Amino acid sequence: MRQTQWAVRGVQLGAAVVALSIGAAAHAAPEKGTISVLNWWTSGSEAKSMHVLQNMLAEDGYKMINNAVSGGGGSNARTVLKSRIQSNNIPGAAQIKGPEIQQWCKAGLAMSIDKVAADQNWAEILPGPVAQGMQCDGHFVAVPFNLHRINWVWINKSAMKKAGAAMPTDWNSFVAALEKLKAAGITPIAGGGDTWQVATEFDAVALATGGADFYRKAFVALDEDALSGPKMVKSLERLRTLQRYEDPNGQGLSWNHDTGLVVKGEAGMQIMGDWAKGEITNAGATPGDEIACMALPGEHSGFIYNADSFEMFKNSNSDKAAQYAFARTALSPAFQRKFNMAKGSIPVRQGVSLEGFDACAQKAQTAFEAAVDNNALVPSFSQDMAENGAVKGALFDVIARFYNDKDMSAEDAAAQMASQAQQAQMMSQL
Amino acid sequence: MAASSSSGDSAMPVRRWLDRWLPKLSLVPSGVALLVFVYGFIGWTIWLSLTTSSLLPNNTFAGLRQYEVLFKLDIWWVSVLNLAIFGVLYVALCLAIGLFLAILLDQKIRAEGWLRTIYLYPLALSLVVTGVVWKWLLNPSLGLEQFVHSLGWTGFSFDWLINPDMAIYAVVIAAVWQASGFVTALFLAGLRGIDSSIIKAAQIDGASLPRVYLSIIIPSLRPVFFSAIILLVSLAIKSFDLVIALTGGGPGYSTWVPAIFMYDFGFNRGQIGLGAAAATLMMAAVALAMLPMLIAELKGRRDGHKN
Repeated sequence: MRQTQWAVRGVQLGAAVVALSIGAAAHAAPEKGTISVLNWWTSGSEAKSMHVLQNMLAEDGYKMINNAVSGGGGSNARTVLKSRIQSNNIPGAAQIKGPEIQQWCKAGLAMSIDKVAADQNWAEILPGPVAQGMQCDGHFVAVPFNLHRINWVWINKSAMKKAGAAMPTDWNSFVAALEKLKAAGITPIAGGGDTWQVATEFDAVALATGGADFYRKAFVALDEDALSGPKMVKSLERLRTLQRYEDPNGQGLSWNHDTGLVVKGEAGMQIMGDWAKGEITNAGATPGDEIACMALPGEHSGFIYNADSFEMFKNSNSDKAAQYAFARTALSPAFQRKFNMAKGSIPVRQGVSLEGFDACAQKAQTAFEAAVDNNALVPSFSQDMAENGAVKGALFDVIARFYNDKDMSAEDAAAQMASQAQQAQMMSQL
Repeated sequence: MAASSSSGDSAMPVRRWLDRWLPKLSLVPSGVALLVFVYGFIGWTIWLSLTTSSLLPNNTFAGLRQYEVLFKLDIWWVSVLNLAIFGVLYVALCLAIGLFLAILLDQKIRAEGWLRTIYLYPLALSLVVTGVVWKWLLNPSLGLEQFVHSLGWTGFSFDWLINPDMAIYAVVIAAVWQASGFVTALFLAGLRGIDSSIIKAAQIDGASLPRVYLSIIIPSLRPVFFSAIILLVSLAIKSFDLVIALTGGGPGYSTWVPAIFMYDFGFNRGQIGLGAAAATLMMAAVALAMLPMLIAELKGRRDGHKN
């Protein structure tokens, strides 16, 4: 109880400090307008990317105030956003993704940027499902920055060689390779450290096992039959199989620690989104070279995407012209190249040259185009792209329970997934 | 002459007035702050728990709907059970270890100052540091288990931290390590306050040492027990940072406690109503645990005055 109050007070104090600093900065009188941008990009390459954007806007005569709030995978930034809205000190743009974009819009807070969308022809340059996610009641209210692919496996080639394992092509050869790695005394899969990591693995398994239509029915539409049906059961059984090849002592360790194990050859593989490339490069290896990248194999192929985006707010403390300029610059080819090369993702704007991007990014682009053609592009449920926080939390809870209780059957877990997800959905629509 | 006497007359009532009201006036700011920030927010939280608040707070009344949903959630009951296990063991172990160490320290030993500092030192560490240190110590492939294996005892296994059924006990270990030195200090102060002539009298009457402790010393530590329990129970109920640093609530959500539930549902999952319901129940739990003790203690004190 008391903790809540302290947290609330702390946040309000923080918001007040931010408000004061914005008030002071606004007096600097930029030529064309100012925008304050709330985000959680505080790590090295991400923070640098925001500076790039800041500089590009400054060249056009706009001032961008970077309100970066670290920690909690964005949850701290979200808390700050809520308190700033409550105290009527609304930022011009805030980092928000997935269905949360619609939630803020339904609350009547989002600002339309249709003008920029029309100028830049977003309907053409953005992939269909992504463009749809940026709209609310037919208006564009958010701008996407990038496309991450979730369903990757990162494989240490020399560990595979040492174990005498062949590169997998389907689920069975994948499991066979894991078995060989295990026999050679190498941890086959680095992962399972926390529920988010398990859910990220399950994300990839569900698409490879059930296909894009199933994935959309289950995780986007929350269809009861899909959530509790045979394809979900099979996916959960495969998660159980993966678990057998994960080090139980890895509990509590972070995903980047696990990436390090793969680079060092102490573990054979990791199932993780393409932000793992940053860690691979930091550890002195080249993604696509010593560390191979491939989609998690299964009966179905596809592209699970995670698009970071910024929603625009009306009645904010920023100038409308600067908000437009922010959206326009974010989707400019020059920024798209610079930003995505640093972040490990691929440009969300189509038709941008990928020259100079690493081999895995090229592969991602090919997979992306194929997925668009085959209607196999799906939003990641584990990265908040498919469901709001309440429903995602409910799905995570069931996955956590299943993963930690080895006696729990896949059928039970699938049935619980259906009931819990629907209950959470109902609660968030009260 | 007249002027000075009249100014003296008017100064006196002002002074008297000030004497009477200044203490009260100076308490007003903190009283108002307390009223708004503690009781005001308690009231607001209770109100939110009765609304449909989700991503943002709203005022649409929903009755006890949030509580109904809360009681159906497995993760809530796991949190409650964990708090019960943690709370009981934490308070009991801290009291037992604290009292035992205090009695040992009270034997007029050499280097007592040093030992006291050593025992009290863990309290100077933040709970986050404690959690991270114990996380490495208790991790089977990095800490204690690995160390014992390297000594040659390869059959040794200590995997509480990664075992969903045992992880909450690992949290107890770290928490007790952190707080028992503080409880020791409380008890030691209490022991020093006991009139030694009573003990001498008992010894002259032929009471054995255990008898002296059980019948005289420990009963006279009653107020210390009272303060220690109040402190420990409230620490236990609001425990949050240690669990986050040590297990992150994991494996899965097996070490969640109500404070984590409240934070995660309220702020991460956009279910403020549900989070507020959890917070309200936490406060009710504190009240239930504290009220009987407070009443008993206050009543005891009043009776004491009468005699």
